Amino acid sequence: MLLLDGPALCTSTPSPLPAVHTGERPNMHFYYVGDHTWATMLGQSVRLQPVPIQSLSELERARLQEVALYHLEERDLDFKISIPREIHKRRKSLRRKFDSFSKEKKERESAPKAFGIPLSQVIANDRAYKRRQDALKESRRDCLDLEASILRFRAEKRQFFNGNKPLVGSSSLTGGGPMSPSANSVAPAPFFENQNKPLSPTFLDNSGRGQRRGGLSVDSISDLVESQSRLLEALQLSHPAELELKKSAGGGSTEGRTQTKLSLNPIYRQVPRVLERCCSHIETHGLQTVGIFRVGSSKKRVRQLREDFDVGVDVQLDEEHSVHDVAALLKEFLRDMPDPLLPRELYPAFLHSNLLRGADQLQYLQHLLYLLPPCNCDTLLRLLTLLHTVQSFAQDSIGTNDEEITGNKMTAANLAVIFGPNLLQREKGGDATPHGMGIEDSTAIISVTLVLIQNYKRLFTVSAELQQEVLMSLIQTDPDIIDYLLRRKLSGSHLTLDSSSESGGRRDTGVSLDSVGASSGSLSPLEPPSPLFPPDGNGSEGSLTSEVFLNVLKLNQNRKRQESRYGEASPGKSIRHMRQFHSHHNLLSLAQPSSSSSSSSRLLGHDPDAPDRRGPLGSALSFTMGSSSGGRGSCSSLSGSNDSNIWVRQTPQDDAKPSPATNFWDFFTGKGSGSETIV
Amino acid sequence: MPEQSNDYRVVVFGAGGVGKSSLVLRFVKGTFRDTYIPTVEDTYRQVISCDKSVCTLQITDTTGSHQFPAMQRLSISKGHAFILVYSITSKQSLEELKPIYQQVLAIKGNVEAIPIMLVGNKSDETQREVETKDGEAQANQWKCAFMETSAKTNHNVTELFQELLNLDKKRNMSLNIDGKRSGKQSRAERLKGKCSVM
Repeated sequence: MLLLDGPALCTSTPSPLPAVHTGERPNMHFYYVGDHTWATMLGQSVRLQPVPIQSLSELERARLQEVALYHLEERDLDFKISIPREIHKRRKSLRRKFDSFSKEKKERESAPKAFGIPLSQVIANDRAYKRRQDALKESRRDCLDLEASILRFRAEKRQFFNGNKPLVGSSSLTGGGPMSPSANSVAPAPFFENQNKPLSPTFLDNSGRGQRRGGLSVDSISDLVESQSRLLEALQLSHPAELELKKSAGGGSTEGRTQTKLSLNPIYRQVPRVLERCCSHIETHGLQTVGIFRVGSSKKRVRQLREDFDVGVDVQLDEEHSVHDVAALLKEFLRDMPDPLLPRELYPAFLHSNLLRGADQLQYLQHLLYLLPPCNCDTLLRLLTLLHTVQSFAQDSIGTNDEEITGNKMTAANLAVIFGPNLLQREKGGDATPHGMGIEDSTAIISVTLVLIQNYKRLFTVSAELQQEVLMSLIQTDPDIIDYLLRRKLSGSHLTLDSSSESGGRRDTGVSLDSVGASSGSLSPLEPPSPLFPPDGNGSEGSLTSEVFLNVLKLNQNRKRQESRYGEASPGKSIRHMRQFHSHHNLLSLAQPSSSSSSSSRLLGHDPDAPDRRGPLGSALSFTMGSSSGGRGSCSSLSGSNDSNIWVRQTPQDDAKPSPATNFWDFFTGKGSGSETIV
Repeated sequence: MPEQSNDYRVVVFGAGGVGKSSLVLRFVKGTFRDTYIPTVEDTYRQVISCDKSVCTLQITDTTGSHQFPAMQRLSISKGHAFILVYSITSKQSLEELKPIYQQVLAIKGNVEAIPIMLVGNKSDETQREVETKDGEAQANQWKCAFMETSAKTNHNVTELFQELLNLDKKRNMSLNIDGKRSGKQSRAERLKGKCSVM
């Protein structure tokens, strides 16, 4: 047992602690007291509980891979086990993905987007699609905003020219004033052309704007770094300590690996859209279908569905679609992956599990599953969850109204027969004749799949022992992170006490809260972020429309991301984004004079009340925005400024930090720097 | 496993759940079980008489639930005779035979000389989706034989295999090892009413 006292930890951590630690005493550090329990001097203690693997942070998961590999190697098997590498081309193709936004449509649509390509690529495509949709929406809103501000600007300008003539309404704007019609008719036109046209494409390929933590792990940020260094710089300025932390985390854990930055937050659940859609369709419509997955489908309709998914159409599966078609589509997706869900290089290892029995077998399989890349792991869990549900409806049963519900007859064994060959495929080439691959292997494949289906919940739960090993391994390389992780576990455990029901693969509440900003609006359904804004918080600002709330919500999320994980934060390139970011900080500092430390420490959630306190923060913030929109209308949303004709430039802080915002406004006013109010 | 020249390989194809395994098991073991277990691939052997000597009838029961084109191609190229099974309760299962037939055609080239039997199984079922004449029409189009069977009631099962062997003109095969001419003849007579041999 390793006992670490606070001071020892503290000496090793002079600088690179996250911003949380400002103002905290050293006896807040956690140390191990044995029995999988960690405690602070203040008497807080965390006893590690088995948690679903999805709730572990990216860093923990990476370390878990190594721990699992170590355990597997200890078994001294006669074949090589290694952590499956993601396909090397990935980064390149990712870049191509980003580039393709600027290329013509045709080229983008030629390559299939769902079938027959690596899983990580599918998820990247899904995310790109999502981002495009978001960007479209955003750009539409942006255009409106811009138009509104231009209209307003013209009005103000006219007012400026006309003296104190009051602003009547937007209709008078287009009519043109009595004075200088040429100024009105000529000057605005270039504005629209210069502003609207170049802006929309920027929004479209603005990868930072709508970016959420989707299917990709954080390292995709490196693709963005060059282009968006400015905001990153700003962020680094604001949180240099955390950057250091991240660097040390990345450096420590990546021996022999590329220099990837690993997040301290859970990875977003990476399940391809097509698979998620199929699964939920079958869960809704297919559980009582006899022979689901076994009975054949219409090849034509399945091909149509496949093509739709491949060109990136947002296919909605509903009761119109035959469950057999959807089931066939799901099987086809799995079968056509270049590397099956359980990677080929682990094929012998998975088959080996047949020689083991009972708990040993489960533990062995568990270790193997922990080796999988997160996207495979998440997708497999989703699939196994579905299969387990399907097999629970296998037998005939009596419904609540005494009516007989026919079972689907697809027991776990039957499902294993059908899905085994889709999940496990031996490496291509070699001595295996197609027929010789044969019977011995296929029975082994089936029995492994059967075990996976029957025990999926247990297999995807990380035991306290393994978590302990992960922490122990982390403490040797990155002692600073331990506190952060444990603190989150502490807050998580408090939360789980309240909400005891924790659904299978879902993260616990504490964690999902932590990633709300990332997951909202992303690929798969998670809790909507609405609890951040309790309805009663809205009462105070009647003039604010929901649009403003959306903005505020987004601000909040942006801030959260920027503060808590600058690395994968999505630094927006767009002007509006920058403005929001800065103005938001101004507002925040108004609202909460001592915010910088308190708010960020809240984010880390060592306070069990954190989620509840977020609400008030959010509403306070929005209130500030609402009430100040008259006086400090730096957020130029349509609604917030309807009742105000005073218009304020960005605050001096913004000018201190050179930002496009200055240029933006200068473009309109045609003036240099300096804050002045145009009335 | 070394190839045995005197093997006669029959391959059974069809969609999932139409009763391929039930047919084969009924023929080979004479049993019927109301189970619902997907097959991966099973092969059964039985000794039959062929050209006044004995040979092994090898019946390959394939999978209907998932298609592995490589395995399917292999089965086709190695098979001598084919049974294409659909369920009379599912129009879709007949549809699914079409690509399989096309594949046989593509691999074997000329199907005229190859015994192929289209089989509508589950003829005991009352909820019929495919009429007998539909099956016959399909068989006409494919220039193959047609039969309706029921593995459950043991209707036409032995006849199916015997008739398939009769279709092969190159060999003279019989299910009975002693090769009783009379028995075979009479059975063939009996069948005349029930199947349309092209």
